[in-house]
This record gives sequence, C-alpha cells and structure tokens, in this order.
Amino acid sequence: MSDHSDHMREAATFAENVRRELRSFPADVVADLTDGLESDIASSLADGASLPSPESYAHDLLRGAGLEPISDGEKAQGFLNKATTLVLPLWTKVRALTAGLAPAWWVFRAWIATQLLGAMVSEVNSPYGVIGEWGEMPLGALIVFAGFLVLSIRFGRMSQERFTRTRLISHLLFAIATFPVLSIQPNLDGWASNAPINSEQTQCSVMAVPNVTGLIIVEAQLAIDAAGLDYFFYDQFSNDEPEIVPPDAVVIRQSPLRDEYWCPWEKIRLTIDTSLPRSTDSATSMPPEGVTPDTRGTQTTTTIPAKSSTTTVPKATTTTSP
Amino acid sequence: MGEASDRRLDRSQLLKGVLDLATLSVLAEEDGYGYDVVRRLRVHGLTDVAEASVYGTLRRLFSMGLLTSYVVPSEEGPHRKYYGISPTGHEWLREQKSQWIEFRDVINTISETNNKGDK
Repeated sequence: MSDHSDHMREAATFAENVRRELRSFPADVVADLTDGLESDIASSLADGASLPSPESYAHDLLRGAGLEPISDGEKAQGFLNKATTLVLPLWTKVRALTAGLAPAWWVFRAWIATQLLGAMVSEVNSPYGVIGEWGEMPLGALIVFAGFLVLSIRFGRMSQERFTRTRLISHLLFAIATFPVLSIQPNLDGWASNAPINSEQTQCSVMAVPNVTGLIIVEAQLAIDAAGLDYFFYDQFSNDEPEIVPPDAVVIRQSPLRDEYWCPWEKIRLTIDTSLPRSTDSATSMPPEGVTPDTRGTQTTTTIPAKSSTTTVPKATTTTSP
Repeated sequence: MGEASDRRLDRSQLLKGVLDLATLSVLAEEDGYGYDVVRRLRVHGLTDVAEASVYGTLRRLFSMGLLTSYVVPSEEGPHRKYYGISPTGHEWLREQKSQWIEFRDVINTISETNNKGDK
C-alpha cells in the first residue's frame, strides 16, 4: 500500500515535469497528450521500471504523437513572431501619427549613434554637449555624424514595407539608447542630465580649468582656488594620494586639462613629482588634500592669471626663512 | 558499444514504421490502457519499445479516429484512460496487415537472394 502511494506520488511529480517540458505547446495539446499519464507511469514504476529524464520522455511522447519537439531556436523565433504580431499594428499607428517627424528622427538617430560610438572610442568628455562623448576629437565627431546621418536618411527613405521587423527593432533600440546617451551628456541640465540631485550641486555653474601644469604646488593651489575649483594630489610613483606633499613639488600633470569645463564639486587631479630636488628648508610638510598652507594669507594680494604658467608666486617655503 | 547502439538505432527505426500496426493489433485483441498496451507489446517481443512513444501513438491513432477512448475512474488514484479499436481502425488494420505481409515477403525474397549470393 505504501509502495503504491509512493509510486503515485513519484508519478504525479514526473508527469508534472513532463508537462513543464511541453509548455511551449498549446495547453489543450499538452492536456490531451498527458491525460491519464500519472496512472500509466505509476503502473510502470510498480513493475520496477526506472524513469528516463522528463525531457526525453516528453520528446518520445511528442514523436509518438507525430509532433516535433520545438528547438530553442524555434522557441526564440516563435516568441519574436508573437511579439511582432502584437507590436506591429501599434507600430503602424504610431508611424502614421509621427510621419511628419521623420526627418527630425533621422537626425536624432544619427546623433545617438555618434554619441554611442564616441562613448566607446573616447574616455574624455568634450565641453560641447552635442558631441560630448568625443572628447578632443570634434572633427572626428562631425565626420562620423555626417556618415551616420547619410545612413540614417537612406534607411529612413527606404520603402516602409521592406525590413519591417528590422526597422521596428532598430527604432526600439535607438529609442532605448536615447536614455543612456542623454544621461551622460556633460553639459545638459534637466531630467536627462547627470546633474546630481544635491541642491548645491544642481546649482553648479561650470568653471574653466586653469593651466597649472609646471607650477609648484602653492602656485597651482592659488590658481585653482581663484577659479573656484577644488583639487587633490596624486603621486606619479605610488599611483596614490601621497601622505606628505612637499610644498615645492611640481605639478607634472593635471586632469582635466586647461580650458575644459568642470564643476566645483569635481576635484581636479594634480599629479606631482615628489622626486625632484628641493631646497633644505622646504621640508615643511603640507596636508595632502585641498588644504592650503598658512602662508597663503600673505599672498592674497598676488594676482595669478588662471591660464598663465609664467607668473611667479613666492613659494610657501620661503616665508619660513629668517 | 557504438556498434550495439547502432543496432539498437536500426531496430528503433524499424519499430517506428510498424508501431501503429503493432499497437492496433494489440488493441484488436482487447481494450487496454497505456501501460497495459506497452506491457503486451513487450510480451510479444518488442522489449525495447519506449513507453512514451506508445502513449503518443495512442493519442495520435485516437485523433485519426482509429481508436475509441473511455475513462475508468479509480478509487486509489487518478483515472485510467482506456483505448479500444474503432470500426475504422479495424478496417485500417486489415489494410495495413496485408501491406505489411506484402512488404515482408518482398524483403524476405530480397534477403534470401542475397543469402544465395553469399554462398
């Protein structure tokens, strides 16, 4: 008796798994194929038979019934066909409503494609939002944009009856791509920009980055402060922020470069060379990040042009000399 | 190992062609449920017939109108689905049997000719 109920339980589970394997077929077909299956399986188990995998069982069942198991590729194709059948009528209506906007869409699509490509080939943002992803390659951006524009227009002018599904998928992809592209535009305000929600940051007006490469730290600090920006130091050898910053160390690199636009909450990275020889009285250590030396108070009358590297400013270390 | 599985494959291919005939023949003796048909086919010598193939075949023959079907409730578990042969099925079976005998004779003649050639 207990064997019987065990077999019934096992048969019920197995039949359920077989039904799951058949789920890509219409429900009535599955119901017809598996009607009474539990009792047959239980009888088979009672005879001491071992069950194959539900998958191969389902395949045998289908083949016996003259049906072909559906491959994964066919399943995907079936899903695509079903989705297309559902979406196409809606798509036709949307197309009819927006027919007059087609040229604008062609331009916009070319711009999205250009920006996406720019994001892949360039790591530096440009101050010009329109080609923001192309960094310092505005000419390249324009050429690529022109190329994409030609393609976009040609594709748009093709007969609407051709490549209907490809066209639909491409429209969807470009529409989806719009969101990430707009969200990474460096100088766009509003819902689609990457402006943080912090109120202070939302009010950020971008500043031109001064050129401080080649200056000693004190000069660099003054120039950056004058521009209303913030900064941090970076050691070229340890590839980390140095613990002690010698005040006469020289800035050998800066990021972003001069004339780029930057928000005050985004710190400028100053790479310094700590290995250069310094005078003996320059051993005074400085706090590493954004803290100006005490001597700055004596230098407030000094004017340092933001983009000039020739201006001389008294070094912080000299003020400590007798 | 490979040879043995090839031989099994040949036999399963052969079985595929005659499973309808075998199933109808078994049901012509007496009505039966799915596993009962499997058991009787095995008793007759078709030991390697796959259960699920037989169940699928029963469904197909039923949808072709060659079988009738009825449900017998069970107190101990789920119902059993019984199959019996329909009048159309009897007619179809007669035709298939004569075709099979004709086919079998042709193959026998061919293979016997080949045996003489071997000698």
